[in-house]
Amino acid sequence: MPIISANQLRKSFPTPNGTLKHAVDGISFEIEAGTIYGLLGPNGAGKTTTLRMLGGLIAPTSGEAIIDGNNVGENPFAVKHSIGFLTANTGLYQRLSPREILHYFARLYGMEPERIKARVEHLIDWLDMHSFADLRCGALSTGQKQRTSIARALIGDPIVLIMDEPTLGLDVLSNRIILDFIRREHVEGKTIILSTHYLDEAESLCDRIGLMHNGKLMAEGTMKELQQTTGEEKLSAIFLKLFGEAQGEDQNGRLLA
Amino acid sequence: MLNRRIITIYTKELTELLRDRRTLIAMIVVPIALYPLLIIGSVHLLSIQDDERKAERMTIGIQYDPQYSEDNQPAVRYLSRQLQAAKEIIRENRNNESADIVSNGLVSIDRMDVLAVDDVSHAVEAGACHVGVLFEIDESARQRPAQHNVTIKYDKAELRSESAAARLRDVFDMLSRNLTEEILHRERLPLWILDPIHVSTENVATPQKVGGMVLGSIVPLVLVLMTITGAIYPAIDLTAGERERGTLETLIVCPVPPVELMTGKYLVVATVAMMGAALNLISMGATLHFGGFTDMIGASGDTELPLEVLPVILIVLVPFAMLFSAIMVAVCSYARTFKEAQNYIMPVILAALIPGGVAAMPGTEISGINAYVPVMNMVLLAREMLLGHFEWLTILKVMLSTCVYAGSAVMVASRVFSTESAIFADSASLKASFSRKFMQSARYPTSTLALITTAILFPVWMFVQFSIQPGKGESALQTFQMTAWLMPIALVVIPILLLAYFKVRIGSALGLNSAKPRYIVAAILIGIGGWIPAHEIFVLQHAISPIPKAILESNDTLMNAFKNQGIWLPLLLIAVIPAICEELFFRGFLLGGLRKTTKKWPAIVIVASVFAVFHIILIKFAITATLGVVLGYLCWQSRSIIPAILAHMLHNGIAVLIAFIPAISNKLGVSDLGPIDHLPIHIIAIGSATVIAGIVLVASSRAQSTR
Repeated sequence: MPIISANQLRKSFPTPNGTLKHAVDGISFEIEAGTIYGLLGPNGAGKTTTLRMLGGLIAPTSGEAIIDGNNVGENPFAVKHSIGFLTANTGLYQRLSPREILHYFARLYGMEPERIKARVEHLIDWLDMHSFADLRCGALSTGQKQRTSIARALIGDPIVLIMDEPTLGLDVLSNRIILDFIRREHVEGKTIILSTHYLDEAESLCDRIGLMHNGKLMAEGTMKELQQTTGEEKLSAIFLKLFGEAQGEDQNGRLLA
Repeated sequence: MLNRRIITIYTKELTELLRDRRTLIAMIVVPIALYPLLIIGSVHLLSIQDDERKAERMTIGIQYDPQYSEDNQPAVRYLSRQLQAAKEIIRENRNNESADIVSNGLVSIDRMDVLAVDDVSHAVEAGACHVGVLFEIDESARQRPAQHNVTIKYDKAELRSESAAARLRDVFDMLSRNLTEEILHRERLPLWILDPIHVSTENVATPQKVGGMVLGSIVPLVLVLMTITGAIYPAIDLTAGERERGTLETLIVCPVPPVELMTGKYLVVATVAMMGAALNLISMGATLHFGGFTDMIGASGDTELPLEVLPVILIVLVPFAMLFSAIMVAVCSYARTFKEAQNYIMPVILAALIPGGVAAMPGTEISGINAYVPVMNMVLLAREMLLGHFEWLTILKVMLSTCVYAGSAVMVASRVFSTESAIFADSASLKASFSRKFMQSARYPTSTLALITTAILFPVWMFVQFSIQPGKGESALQTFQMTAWLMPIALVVIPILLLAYFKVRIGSALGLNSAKPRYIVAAILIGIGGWIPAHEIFVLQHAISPIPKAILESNDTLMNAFKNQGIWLPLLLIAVIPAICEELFFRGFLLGGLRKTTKKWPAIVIVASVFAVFHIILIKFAITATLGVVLGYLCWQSRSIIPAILAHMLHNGIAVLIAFIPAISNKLGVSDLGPIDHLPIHIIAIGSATVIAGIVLVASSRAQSTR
């Protein structure tokens, strides 16, 4: 039983000149519980839009996505309860301390007061946040902010973690924190879906990989399956091959016209 | 309404906002410190300047006469003599005037210099002298009593010139008066002959009222503006600011409906605006009280600050703060950055300044449409209160209309804030999301569309009603007819055009479908019996709060105007047109808009209150509100507008028949009853029973359908 399944998911945005742009153009995939799934693709491929639909942040134009038995379009609040959503550029409230932020979000998740305290203290322990838990977020270092964001995403004890470009623009140290965290959560049995355009990161972390381009899923499978279908060894080569083909089609269409 | 999540959001946003130095400065430091400085400072400065001008050295220009040498100009000598004479008079009068006036008068004259110039007018205009004086001096006639002509030339565009002219005029007035007294004395006539009818005025207003009048000219506008200003920073910070800092996405990730997010944020903005208004009021009151209110406004002893009114004004400000917070939040929700939000806010403040400024003008009164114009009604109401006028009807009008506007603004705000494109995408797609091309057709209008249309139609409809009041050559009948003909345009054509534009199916939106026979029967029962409870409600209302005689009489005038028109015209104008138009708009368009987003009873009550507010004659408030609830219930249950139209038409029609056909009222035994007398008990019993039967029929059908 997959814990996440997307079926012909599509999201269209109106553009200023009056046409519709399909940011995500009918993609389908399934993710097994306890695995790490990576969405790869160049900028504008539709990764973020896909993750936002899975997270119930935006409603799909058509198609559906089911997370842990809940339909994202029909019941976004149930979905939001079972996921944690993390982005690289997630802002923190500058004038609140990490502890206050965690309490705030725990209350928004509707947790009971006793449970909130226990959960917050547990996360502060687990992510080693004691030294800065009561400072204002405005005064924290990037790594400390990153840990606070992670704790925030984990506050509702989600079974699925959605991470949109979690390592984008981070220094080596902060990057380490994130990757360590993803591995730890994986060991804990959480299902993780992340988007990235760092290929080696995806190669070393993900159980399955989906390659996106122009709103479509070009190829999908384990590393091995991708290697077999394309006959390439390295992910970067696979990526370039698929991407080049797509680009070629594109260019043919455009150049020959 | 207020659940734990909203309270959580509210508490957090308020905490965060209060930790922001900018909020604290804008909200607390500015009113507490700047206010007294500003008010006292500016008043002080003005009075100092005024005093200074009175004692300033001024130059008087005199026409140069080339026949005489420069230091022997007759006009200069003449004027110097006159000034000297004036000083003598002041000294002689020393015993009758206070020492201040005497010394001020002497100083004023001492500081007048006389200068001969070539062209007086030109010299004044060029600023070579402050004023110019032209005399017709006939030296030979000096001893002969005759009128002397003196012309003072001054530059009206120059403050100094104007005050110099006034000073000089005072001197001549004094001389003139003195001459007159001398002549009277010589002719042995009494002095009172100068003033055969002595008029004096005496003020009967209490010192508080006078103080209220003085305050009323400026304080309400300042308060209203301060409340608006107080909402600006938090509104921007909590919406566009949140988006700009990137925390909005995090918040949307949480299982919280956008409406709750928005409500929490909106309540914070309203709280801060209220706190700002309160602090402003307290600071202003304290400044005026301790800063010497009477000295400051330069009034004499019988002026007092009406301190006890200030808390009442604060309470009335609550719905106003709610309204503007909602508008600010709605406007700022469109913006993605702080800067963008500031640009959006500017037109809003300008739009608020115009009615506020008009209201602050002396002579603008809180009557007619003015009681419904946002900002204006608040400024005028506060002024009335400062004058000690508490008219509950007016307060009710202002509060209710403000609440209607505030409710619509909150709806828009939460709608905008939850729009996907407003959260994530660029402004281009935000625009696109409002273009017709991408709208999907719907069965009912959105609650936002319905409420905004109502909020805009309301003042427009009020304006139409007030602008065709009788008295401008039209009779009461003509104006009534005009209102009835305009009603279909305002209440039916405009909503239908909007529905068509927004691709809402008109049939389903307005409930234009047949209803089950059960509901038709219920409508007939309610329609036929309805006038009886309605009349009793009116009588009850009169017992609680008496209805002014003038209003009852104006009703009679209208009835008399109709008397010669047969029965069909009043039936058409009073029963048919209002029933169709009002039902299509209120129970059709508005209730349809609320059908999806609001629960049954809140929706019915909201629509009934709006329905009642639309009937400007607030003495009918109780009747229209009750009728609105019954008709709303009928429409909600039957899912059709037909029964509501039928019931409404019958209700109004029977009232017309009773009023115009004596045979009917005779038969019912109500012909000699006035509008505020109880009906006979058996009629009350029959009428109530009929209406209750109708309502029970509607209610039982629900039970059946759920089974």
